[in-house]
Amino acid sequence: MTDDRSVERAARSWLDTGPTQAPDRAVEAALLRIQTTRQERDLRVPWRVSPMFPLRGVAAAAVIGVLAIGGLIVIARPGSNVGVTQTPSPSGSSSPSAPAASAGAAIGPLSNTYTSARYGYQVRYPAGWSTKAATSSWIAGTTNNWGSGLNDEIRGSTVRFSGASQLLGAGQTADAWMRAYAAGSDPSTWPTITVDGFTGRIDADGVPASGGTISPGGRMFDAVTVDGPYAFNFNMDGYVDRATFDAFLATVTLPVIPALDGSFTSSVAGYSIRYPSAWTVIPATKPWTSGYDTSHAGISDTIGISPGFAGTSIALPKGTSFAAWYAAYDAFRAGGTCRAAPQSEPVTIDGVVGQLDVHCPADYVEAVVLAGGRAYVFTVYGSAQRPMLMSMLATVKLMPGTAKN
Amino acid sequence: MDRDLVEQARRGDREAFTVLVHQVSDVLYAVAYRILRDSGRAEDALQNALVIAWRRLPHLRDADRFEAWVHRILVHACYDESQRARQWTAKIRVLPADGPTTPDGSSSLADRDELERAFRRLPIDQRAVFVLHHYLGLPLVEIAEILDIPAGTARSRLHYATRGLRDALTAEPELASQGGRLA
Repeated sequence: MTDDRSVERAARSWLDTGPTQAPDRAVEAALLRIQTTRQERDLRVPWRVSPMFPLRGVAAAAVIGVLAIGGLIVIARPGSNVGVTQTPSPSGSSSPSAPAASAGAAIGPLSNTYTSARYGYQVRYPAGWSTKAATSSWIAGTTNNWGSGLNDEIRGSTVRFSGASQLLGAGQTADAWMRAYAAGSDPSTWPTITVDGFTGRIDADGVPASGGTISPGGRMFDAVTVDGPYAFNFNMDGYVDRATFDAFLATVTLPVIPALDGSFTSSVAGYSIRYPSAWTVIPATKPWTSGYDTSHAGISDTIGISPGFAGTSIALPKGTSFAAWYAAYDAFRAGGTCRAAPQSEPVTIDGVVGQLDVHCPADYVEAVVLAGGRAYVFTVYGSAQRPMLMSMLATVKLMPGTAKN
Repeated sequence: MDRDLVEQARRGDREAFTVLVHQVSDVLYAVAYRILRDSGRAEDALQNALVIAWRRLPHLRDADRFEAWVHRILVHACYDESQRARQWTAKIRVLPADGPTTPDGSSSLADRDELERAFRRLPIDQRAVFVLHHYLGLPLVEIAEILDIPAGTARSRLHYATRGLRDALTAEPELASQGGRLA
């Protein structure tokens, strides 16, 4: 079997021998996921104009307004009021001190997609812009100012898009979160906006950008919305107008975080957790007793697939500290996955501080915590699934006394 | 493929999309299995492809091209699964050695084992072209269109896949005697 035709003949015969029917479970699982999956909108920005497009004054504003409706993205230069929508703003509409400009410059189609590994949303942006992921998480009690490291940033030369999200407090409603965010203002008076199907509010609508802005003298737009257990904040600053902000927001896809309406208690690993009831639970059948590979058959509880959750625990060997065990586990994990440098952050699970492994966020995010002499490992697989893991971890109860072995 | 169903699904009709799913799942799974050579990963690729297809369906310009379009999504889902398998093998799961599920009267067990090993060594993009051409019987021009690659690239991938299989099969007895297993 050494010539091409013989190889092709044999290969065709061999290919014909595989399965020809999709397993029902795979199809049903896909259909279940589709029930909670929103379709993308067909947003197209098919054309651009020259940056030197010589429009001025009222005529320019009128023309650009029409173009913006067609999907053109326009940056307002200093001294411009082109394209700024005169909608009421809780922080004050475009003030007289806001710069006014005489020209607009197209920044082209939003052809690239940014996926936030930390916050799980996606947004499209123009080619040539740079991206910088947040270096730590925006949590209740912190302020995600520019430069705080809490925001993902997408930068053009004079415009910046920032995005962040935080988990709502236990039992906190979307309205309660919004009121807390407003810090004394009345968010019900803010203009509404829709982000990926969720109603949000514009809390800053073209106000002069303050210190820390990418372009002093420019403007700022800010929107907040709540998607399930997460609140999202999106901001643009610099020489930017409302049409541009709206165009960016129109491309935002928020993470799908199904309701955690199921409850599972692991009799093998000793914990309980809430999960989307549509996800299939396959409990562990035997305890994890040695080594660092949690993928061995039967030692992890698994819930769902792609994205999916896995949970397990192991009793630390006598005389082994958690730090020593974790270092060895981390080394094993780093060697077997995406080969990125180890990167962990603190995470709190059921009141216990552990480690959140984020070195491979495109593939999985994993939390490890010590309780009652056991190391617990909770993993969610799939790209940008950190919000899913964090919302599930918030429901975990550690019960090391009930674990087997 | 029913154009009306595709149009309904494009507009967000989940029931219409469910019908489409049942119409295309078998062939998509069969293709995914043959590219990935792993039933679990083929299931994952199928699921992901169907969900992605649902999400992106509003972007489909020509409803008549649904089948080709969803094949492209599936092949890319296979690429993703393949990469995940390569990166996660140590942590997540060991790649099971799924074998053929039905007897094959035209080639010996030894030949099929050799083909299995040789095929697994091919780059995933070559596997995809090989499967689309030799299993689905698609002409290279159509494969190029489905994968959004130049026809010449499709042709060269098929050529290198065939040559890779031939070379591997020629060298297989030596490898087999060394006891190596490549996923």
